[in-house]
Amino acid sequence: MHGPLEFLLGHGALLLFAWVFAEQLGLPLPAIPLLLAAGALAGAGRLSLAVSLITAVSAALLADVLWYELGRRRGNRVLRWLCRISLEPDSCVRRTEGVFARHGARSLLVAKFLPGLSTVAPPLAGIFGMQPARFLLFDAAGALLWAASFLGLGFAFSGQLESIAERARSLGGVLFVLAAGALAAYIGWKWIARQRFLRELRIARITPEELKAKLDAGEELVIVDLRHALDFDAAPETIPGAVHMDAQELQKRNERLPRDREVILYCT
Amino acid sequence: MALLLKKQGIARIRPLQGGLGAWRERGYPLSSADNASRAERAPHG
Repeated sequence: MHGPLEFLLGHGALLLFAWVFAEQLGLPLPAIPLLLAAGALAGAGRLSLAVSLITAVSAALLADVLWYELGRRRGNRVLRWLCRISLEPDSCVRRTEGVFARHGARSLLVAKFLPGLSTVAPPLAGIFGMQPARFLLFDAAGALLWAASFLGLGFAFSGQLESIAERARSLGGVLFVLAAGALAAYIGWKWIARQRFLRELRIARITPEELKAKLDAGEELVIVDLRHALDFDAAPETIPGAVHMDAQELQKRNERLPRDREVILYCT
Repeated sequence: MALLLKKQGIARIRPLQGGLGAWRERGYPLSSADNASRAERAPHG
């Protein structure tokens, strides 16, 4: 076995810890292949499954506690910042808040399996004021479920993964270059789409001053308060004349929005 | 959401820069929830 598996064998728990910790902090390092590799090594008797599990869970939990504390102290600003740097900024805040509102602490159990929610769920728990003990319990259970699933898969398919690694070795650097190229192309494509999205939004945005002037001038506008119900209940005030509806309602009712007026959308 | 509505034919969509926080920071007027329009009273086109 060579490449990533050999590297993992050489550096063991430290590498696994650093990698999972970095991924959970939000860096674009996929931890799942490493967990699978660690599981495969454990299956081949070359790494301890228990140590790998404890290492991965500890790393995930440490990163999550940091995010949770940031969420508690800094509130919504943390979430907005996280969503701004994510590759899916359009739906980030709304989607994560929606998942949390529906499932509460239980969403921590599955958060690590859902792209986009993994890093955002812990600060969200802090923002919503989840009790520390409850957060630790559910987050630790979620981290355990996540790490055990992929380590277990690697363990169960240890033989197959080894033969894949052997084949990869025979293909030499070509496979690595292809995989790295595909990953770079994917990230590049997402980045370009995000830049285009942000540019369109920047062009269309209205400043508070401009909106105030339009309202003062008596211009007929449609103003939609898109805040999540949780945010709305926490601060039940709107810009004068605004209609409060969530994103799903807005999509359902969009045919009722007048086409001849400007439609102003706002969140928190 | 803004782009989605644009694709659905609403051309003049404008997100508020800075959201409600920016509006509040400037001390601009706000309506209480009692006065606020709800979705049931959404405007007709």
